[in-house]
Amino acid sequence: MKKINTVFYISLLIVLALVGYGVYNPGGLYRFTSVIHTVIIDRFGWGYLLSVFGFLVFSLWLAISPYGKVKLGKDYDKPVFSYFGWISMLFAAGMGIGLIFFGVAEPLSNFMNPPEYIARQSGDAARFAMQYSFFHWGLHPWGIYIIMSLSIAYFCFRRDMPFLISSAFYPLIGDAIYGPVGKFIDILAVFATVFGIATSLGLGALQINSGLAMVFGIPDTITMTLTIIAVVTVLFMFSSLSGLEKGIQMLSKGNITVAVVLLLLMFAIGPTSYILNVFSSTLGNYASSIVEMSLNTNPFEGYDWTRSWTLFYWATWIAWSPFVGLFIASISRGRTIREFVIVTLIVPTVLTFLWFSVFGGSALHLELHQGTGIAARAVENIPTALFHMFNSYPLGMVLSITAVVLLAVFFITSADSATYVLAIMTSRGDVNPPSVKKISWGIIQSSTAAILLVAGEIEALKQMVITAALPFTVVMIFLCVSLVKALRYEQKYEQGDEGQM
Amino acid sequence: MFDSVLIPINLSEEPEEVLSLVEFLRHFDTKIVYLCNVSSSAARIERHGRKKLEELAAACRGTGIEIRTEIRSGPPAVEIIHASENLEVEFITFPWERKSILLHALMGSITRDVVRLSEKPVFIYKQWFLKKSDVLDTVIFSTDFSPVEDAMLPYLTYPGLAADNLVMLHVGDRAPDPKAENRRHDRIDMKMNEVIYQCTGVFTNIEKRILTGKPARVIPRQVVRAGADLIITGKHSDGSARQKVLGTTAENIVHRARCSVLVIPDEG
Repeated sequence: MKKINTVFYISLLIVLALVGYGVYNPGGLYRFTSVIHTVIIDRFGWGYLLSVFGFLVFSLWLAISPYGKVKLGKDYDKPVFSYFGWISMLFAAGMGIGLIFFGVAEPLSNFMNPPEYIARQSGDAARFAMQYSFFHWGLHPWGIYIIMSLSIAYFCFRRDMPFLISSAFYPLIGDAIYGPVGKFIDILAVFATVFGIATSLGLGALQINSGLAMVFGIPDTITMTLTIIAVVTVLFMFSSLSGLEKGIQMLSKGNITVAVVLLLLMFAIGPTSYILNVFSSTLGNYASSIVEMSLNTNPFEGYDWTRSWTLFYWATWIAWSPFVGLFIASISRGRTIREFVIVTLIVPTVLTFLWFSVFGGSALHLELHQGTGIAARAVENIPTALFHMFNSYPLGMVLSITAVVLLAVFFITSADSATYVLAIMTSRGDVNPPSVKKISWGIIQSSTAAILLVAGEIEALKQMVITAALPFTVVMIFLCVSLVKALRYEQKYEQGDEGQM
Repeated sequence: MFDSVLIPINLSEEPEEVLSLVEFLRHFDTKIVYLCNVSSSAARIERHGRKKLEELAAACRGTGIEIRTEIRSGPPAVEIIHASENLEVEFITFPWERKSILLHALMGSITRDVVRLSEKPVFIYKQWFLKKSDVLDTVIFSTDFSPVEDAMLPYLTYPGLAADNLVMLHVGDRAPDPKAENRRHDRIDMKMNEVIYQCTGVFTNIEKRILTGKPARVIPRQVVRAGADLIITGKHSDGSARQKVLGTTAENIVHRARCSVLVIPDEG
């Protein structure tokens, strides 16, 4: 008798129920998620900070420990993708669209509204804004992703288990991974992925629309945003159906190339020396304050700021980790743990720092030295921040068009990889999931983004994602324990003395 | 193997309790018992210790086992170890005395220290404390197949410790995947069979239990489940920070198990 795919049907039911509720009772979902979100951030904010710092330290320890030599695959496995393809894909999945969205907006927002102990629109505020942009998008998110992806890759490629998050819990709960506990973990992962990616698609579509409005004068309306979602959905479905090696890899490589071109172009056109000064001094501030930033919740002054930014980001990265983790795991077969951790921590982080220095630095230069008033406009309408900045520099039109193209391609790659991951998670870990699953999830996530955008519930969606992050933080702590147990077992009994058990 | 034994006495024991322990030592065919009191004050020993110790020794003299007394002063655990070496006893045994968690945390435990420091087998007698009979019905042999097992086997097959039932118990980490877990089971099963082969004729029923988890937690639970009267376990330290803080598995079993415990140290 064919077994019912519980994870698929329950996940589907939950997603449809929540979307249905959002449509039936607009505002209701937001009110509901607001309460949960506030309670979680208020009560467990410190937990996010400690856990995320712990994940980063744990990743570094794994890389330098003897376990660093262990391969994510069999000892004879070779990496499936080239370094360029691999890095392109992990960058596209991990940061991508968000970096473009916040590359200018975040430094400017924090420049305008820093914590209360820093004077607004001051030099200190600019320094703070850049330092925290590095912090929020730097090593820590990758530390989170590493925990998830390393665990999945180890258990699936080296230990031949199904490509599911629940597989990584075998050393802790044994065959219970096939029961309700395992299914709960997988359903939670599907839930976080669908809503996480729907949020990202909603925000991405809004920004593409803003860009098109500013460059071509196309109306910035909800109908237009929905049209963008529809067009992008068709494109990413094609890409997804063409498979990992062709579609996603090709798009990611294209993405990273266009991103680097845009970065270099802006670097050349913008205040080059100023950007290099910003990069150098922010890197110094980041390096000297990383431990303080990692553990400081500002309980005496500025907690509201920490809550709105750092805790929001940490929860978001954790909520995204099932999707990004599974995806990165799927492309990392054949790498050693040390190679995986070092490359995943350093390369995307350096790229991100360069990105913020070039785009954030150029925007701050406009605000501080040319008095263009860009910061106020950016804070007023976040999706337009990038395009406002481009308009203030030569070749603004070229830069804006390139950015819109980049946004669209990042949009497609994110949705594409999410579809692939969702299909795997709901096909009992089959790394070659059936096309029907990919099509189903593609339609579901785009419809979710579109419906909730129309119902004005994108904020509710964001809060729901953060809500999912709390149980996932616990899941990730146990993932660390499970991974260490497995690695220790392997080193103790499978690589050396088998006498003692 | 068990000819002579050192019994550390803190003088709070009832004569019946010490007598019960000495009588239990018949299982071991013990011939000489040293009742040893260690105190930090020599004057105190002279005032109370010697007399009380002689009374306890007198209470045990009808058992047919030779009873001698030994009095020492100094840090108790260290002096007990020194005495066991000087007197060339073959093992040390303690009557079990339960301390509250708070007292244990504040004062530590001499039993635990001796288990940690001793290079001779240590037997913790709990039958009196648990109000159990002296008959050995079920014995648990807890092993992780470390080198200490070679030292443990002669004790397991010692005729005086023969019981009706033997539970061969292995508690260890689960393997990282189901196939490796099956292989682990097969390997352990094979090793258990080798041990069982050497126990032929000693026990009537032999049961194998292969479990996963932390030995210090799982073994005491298995004692209750099996209704065991005695655990034979090995002691070896891996030198880890965790063991330095929380103690070895053997030290923890001594405290948690609701039956007597025989701890065999690694010969090396």
